[in-house]
Amino acid sequence: MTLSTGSNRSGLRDIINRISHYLPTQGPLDVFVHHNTLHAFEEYHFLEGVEKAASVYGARAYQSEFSYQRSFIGGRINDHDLREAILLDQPSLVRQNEEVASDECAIEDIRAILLSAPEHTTRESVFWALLEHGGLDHHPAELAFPRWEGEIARERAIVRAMSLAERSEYLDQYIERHEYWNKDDELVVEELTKLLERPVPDVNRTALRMLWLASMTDALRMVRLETRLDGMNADTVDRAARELTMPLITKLAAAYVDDGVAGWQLPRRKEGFVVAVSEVLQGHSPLVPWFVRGVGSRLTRLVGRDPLDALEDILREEDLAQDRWEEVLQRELLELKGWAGFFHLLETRHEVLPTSSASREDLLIQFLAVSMIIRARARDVLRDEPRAQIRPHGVDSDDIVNRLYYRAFHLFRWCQVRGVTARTLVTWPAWRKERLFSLFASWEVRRRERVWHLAFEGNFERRVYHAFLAGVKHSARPASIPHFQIITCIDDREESFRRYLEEMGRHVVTFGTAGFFGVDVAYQSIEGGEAPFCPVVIRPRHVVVERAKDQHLSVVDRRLAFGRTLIRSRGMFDRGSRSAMGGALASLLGGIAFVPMLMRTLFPRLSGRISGIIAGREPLDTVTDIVYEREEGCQADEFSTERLMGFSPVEMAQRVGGLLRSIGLVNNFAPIVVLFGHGSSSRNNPFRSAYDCGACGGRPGRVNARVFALMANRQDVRRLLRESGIDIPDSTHFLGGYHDTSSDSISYFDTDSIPAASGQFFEELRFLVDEARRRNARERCRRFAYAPHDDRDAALAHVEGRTQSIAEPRPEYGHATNAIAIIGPRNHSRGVFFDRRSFLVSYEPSVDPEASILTAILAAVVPVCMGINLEYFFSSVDNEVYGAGSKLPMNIASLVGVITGFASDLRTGLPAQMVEIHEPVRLNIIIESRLEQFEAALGRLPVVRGLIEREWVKVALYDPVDHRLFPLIRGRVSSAYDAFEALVPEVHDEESLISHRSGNLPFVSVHQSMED
Amino acid sequence: MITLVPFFALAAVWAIVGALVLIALAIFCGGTRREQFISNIARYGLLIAWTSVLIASAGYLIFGGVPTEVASVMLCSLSHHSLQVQLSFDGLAAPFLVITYSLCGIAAAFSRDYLHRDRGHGRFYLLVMLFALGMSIVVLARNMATMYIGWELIGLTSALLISFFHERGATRENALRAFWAYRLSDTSLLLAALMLTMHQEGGISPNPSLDGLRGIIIPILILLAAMPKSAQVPFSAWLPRAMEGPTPSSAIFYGGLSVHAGLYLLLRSGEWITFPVWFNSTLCVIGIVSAGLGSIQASVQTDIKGSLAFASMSQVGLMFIEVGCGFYRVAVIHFIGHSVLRTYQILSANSALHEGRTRHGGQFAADSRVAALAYRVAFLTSIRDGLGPYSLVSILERVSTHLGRCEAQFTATIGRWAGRTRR
Repeated sequence: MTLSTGSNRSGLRDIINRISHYLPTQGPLDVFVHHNTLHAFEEYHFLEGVEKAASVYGARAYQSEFSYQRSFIGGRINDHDLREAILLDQPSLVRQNEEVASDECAIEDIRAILLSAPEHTTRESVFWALLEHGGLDHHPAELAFPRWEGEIARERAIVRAMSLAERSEYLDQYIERHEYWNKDDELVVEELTKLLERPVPDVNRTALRMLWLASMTDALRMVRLETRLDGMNADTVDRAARELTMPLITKLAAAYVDDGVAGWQLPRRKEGFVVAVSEVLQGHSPLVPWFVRGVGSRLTRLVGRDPLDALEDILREEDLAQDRWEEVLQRELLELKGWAGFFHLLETRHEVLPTSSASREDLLIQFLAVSMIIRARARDVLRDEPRAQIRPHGVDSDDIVNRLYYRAFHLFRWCQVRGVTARTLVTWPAWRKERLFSLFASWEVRRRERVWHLAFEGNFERRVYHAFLAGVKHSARPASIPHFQIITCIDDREESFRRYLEEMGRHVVTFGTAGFFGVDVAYQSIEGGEAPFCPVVIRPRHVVVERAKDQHLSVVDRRLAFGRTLIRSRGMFDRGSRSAMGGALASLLGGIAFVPMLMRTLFPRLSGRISGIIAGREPLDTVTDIVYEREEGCQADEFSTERLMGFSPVEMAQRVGGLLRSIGLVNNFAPIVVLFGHGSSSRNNPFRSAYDCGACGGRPGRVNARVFALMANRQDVRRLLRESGIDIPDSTHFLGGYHDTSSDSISYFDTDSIPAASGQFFEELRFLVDEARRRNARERCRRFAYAPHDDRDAALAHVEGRTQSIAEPRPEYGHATNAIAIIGPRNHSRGVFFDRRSFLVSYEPSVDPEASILTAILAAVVPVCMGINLEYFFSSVDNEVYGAGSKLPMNIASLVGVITGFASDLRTGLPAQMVEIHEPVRLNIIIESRLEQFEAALGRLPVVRGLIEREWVKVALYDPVDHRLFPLIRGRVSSAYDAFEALVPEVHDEESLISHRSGNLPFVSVHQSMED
Repeated sequence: MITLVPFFALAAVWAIVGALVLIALAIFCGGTRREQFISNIARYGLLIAWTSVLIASAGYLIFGGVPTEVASVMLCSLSHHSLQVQLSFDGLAAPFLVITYSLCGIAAAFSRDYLHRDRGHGRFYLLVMLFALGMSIVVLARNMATMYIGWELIGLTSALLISFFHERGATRENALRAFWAYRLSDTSLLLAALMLTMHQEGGISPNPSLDGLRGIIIPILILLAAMPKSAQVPFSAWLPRAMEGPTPSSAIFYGGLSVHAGLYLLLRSGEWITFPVWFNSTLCVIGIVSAGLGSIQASVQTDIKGSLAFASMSQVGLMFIEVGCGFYRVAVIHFIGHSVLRTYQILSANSALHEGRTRHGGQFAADSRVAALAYRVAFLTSIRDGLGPYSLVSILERVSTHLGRCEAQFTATIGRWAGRTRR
């Protein structure tokens, strides 16, 4: 049956649209936005989505079994967690009738399967473990096998009572020389015979060897029972073709989107990818790489044709049945998913690289067509070329043999865990063995990893709930007259900062809210350029402009001019030093480069100071103003999308009031209310933007804090707020500030406008914040090697140095270890040490009967925090496929991203150095709200509801009236969490807890030094 | 105080050797504080070496600039020829040695944080120290046979550092390309050294003029030794591929030191042999071609490290021209400035995204036919493999793979036999 070309075309386009969903959506790296790496799978349940994605991308779904086993040995996962997880995966095991005994047995069997799963998957490595590593002499020290010891005692009596003849007869039962028998197996039999010939044989060693033989026999039967797994057995020529053509295709792609690295542009890139590539690879010139000889003619055939038609031709030429098209196209597209994803982004979003001259029409299809042609040509050349160097990537033994020995080894270990000796094993009836085999078959690797992961997460979840409940129980009421109210971002890094601030006394109160503080602006900085400073889902309409203060006009002009000259001359020098003549000139002066190289490597803090002095003593903020207001009367149309200059007083009041209501600060204002935006600084770091504020779209939150404070101090805004119910007294002053989370430096904006009456409070605040940041630096330093312990000032100096060093791939750890989000009043979690792992959102359910505030919070917080959590999750589970690999061989490509080494796919996700301390667990969100309010809020947010129901985040509701915690299972409340007698330890201060410990710490309650 | 200079020069070399031994011991013994110990030993060892060399250079300048012998070890002596390992310190060695220890020292300091927690931390430091030792020997060598020892070390450590992340298949392939280039260079140098030794009575005093066939072959061999090391055309395909290793090693090798080793060879052997005119003109031609081609290739690279690699190659081409024209001092000054600059540029290559040059503007649109042709040539030559199914290297690779398989079987059998008897 032939289909007409028309429906083929639309079919093809549909296919392309479908498979392009699997591509990563990371834009140019200078603005890094965390998002769910597996966003294409969000329509599935989390576990299902993760496993499907693993097969699509060829990635790990969970951490390796081995690491979970290590976690079990280390105590991170305990038996209770494992049991709960097994039951979660196989609920049918929980039955209330007479089969309980056999179910317990089944759970025990499954637990033994999980614990005994070996990491050795080939025959060679199995024998290495058995013969070289003493697997047949003793069992692994870490796992205690108490049952086995008991059995051995019994065995000892029996064997020693046997005569020599009986023993050799006894041995013969166990030996079955199968078709895969080889020298190593023979070796085991020889050893066993020798052992049995001794007058007093070592029963443990004998028993282990006999068990091994018995396991081999049974494994044979098991393997014959299993169906063959479909491996990804790529043809060797195909693999060689992919490897050879990768540099060519990636370099062409990089040249096409190059945004400023190369001095010369790719010719004819205005005309499309196909044209540009055929221009480069044209003809039979000897310069075209040998493995794609002659590809030029095939490419020129593509030129001028509709790319979809061309793609169809390619598929037809490959002699592929139409039902295989999607599978093939998907494999080809995801081969270089980084570059393909970027091309797709260019095609669909025009704000990406707006000044690029590259043509964007049908870009993805063109890329697909070109890469398929190049690879096909390479395959042809390699097949025809008899002496082409194709290195085989074979395994040492056949697949089935490996599986046999793997199974045998697994069964061998399993029997040791369960305490089943060979003697017992052979006496088992056939049905029992069948049941065991089917259990082994159904509990294959993926399922085991899943259960381990659920146990891993379950353990953490329980600890979080216990910590939270402890915090609620000990919640202190803040002082009746707060002196300072400090509003920070919900960022998990601010958790420790807020904790130290609050430890200063009960008169210090902190709040958490999304770091853009409701101020959605497009900011035009005085240095030039405009950028949005709000969550990526919001398109800002209001423009605020930075301009120099009148009295500092000349200073600012001078500094800007200096800055511009510096940048331009550095750029010129850089570019020039790459040409022959320019390079020669640059080399004359080149010796001077020794100074910055030395300083920035060995004395980073000092070099930071010096750069600061050169750039100008005071930060630019102190000599500039922000124009953020629009005159009265210009009332904007709410629903239009046109841009507006600044905010009108009504709009300002909306924003200020909105934020204050959202965090529950509507009365009882302190004399000083500070808002700290946050950002990060580092050198020589392509991922710098990943440390900035996610709520500000991957940028530092400086301008948002500043503008909010300016707005909230205005009399007209306060008048409007008073009319709507928020009465801010005249004695209260709002202050904008900035917290650099890498260097733990603090700065304040517009300090000259602080009224005299508040001056004393400001001084006190400065002192408090200074002490808090010192302690914060100290706590952060516990994670860093070569950082000072115990001394707070040294710690502060150390973290400052880290941000200025060009050799530091870990200026800070960012969101690593993030795992919790708490939405509720702060005093319910105040005093709990969350180890910088929790996002903290301030929310007062009592002032939110309609759940409108909760709706707004969930709409913002859930996607942002989930995005951060899942980005870290997947980049740490499989850093090579989902993450960006190690930073060490990284190379910036086209100024849009990074590649590894000489040529590679564009790397997406986070590098290894950012996720190395991260524990991949899903985000645990605890929301303080009544069920009805929560349901009402979710009802207005279908997307968030879907994510919660499909468990991409885990949610628990804390009912403020009932004082009980209800975990949600698939979006539904089932029963209250029974905390039984879980105790959360209490410490006096963090110092004893964190001193000289660099790993994850338990959650504890910290006695605050109370000052009344 | 004539002994000041040789004492300190030798002290520098011993400092490196001592650090090397301690690092190797630390790797072997393991332990939790191993990382810190290794990076400290490396840094202080290089600091001591650097200080010693500065003192030696100062002494050299003060005491009249006489080349002094530092060490001399007789390896073997036949009736008319002998093989001696000889190190000496002079005005050419001083700047090279100072730069070597400075850049290696900075790389060692850089790597303490950069390589932290990497599985290959110890291996990295071991290889860098071995490289420093190799460079010291090359620079201090007084005859070509001695130089060869260091030359081999440089090549070996280079290839091992490029393949640092050996889990990646592409990395291993690219490291092999570099390794083959270095083997060509090593073999040529070895042959040249042997021929020179055979030629000279006593093997010490340099014989200024070579006649006949030797007068042609030895300079060609020296050329063949210098060119692949310094990535001159046509042996330049491996250089961009050498950026597979960690940034600090890429920086000091291909920005600073290893890539100038060819230059050093030319400068040094110019003192031992008088180069014929055709040699100098060949140098100039090679230099012009490499400088020009390298410059355009650098302009079409879309990744920072690749662009810097080609820029490096083109500058070394200019240095070859300078040597060919006899401007030895200029070449040394050029080397000093270039190595420091390039090392710094590669070390801070990753700052291009956030702290680097402005985007857009300055990109030359290669629209005209000539420009497009130049682009094509530069692009395709910069990604060329250097090999193909018919190249000598491929043949050698196949032979070695076959031998490797035989060897693997042999080793496995021996191992099993040994394991069996152990029980």
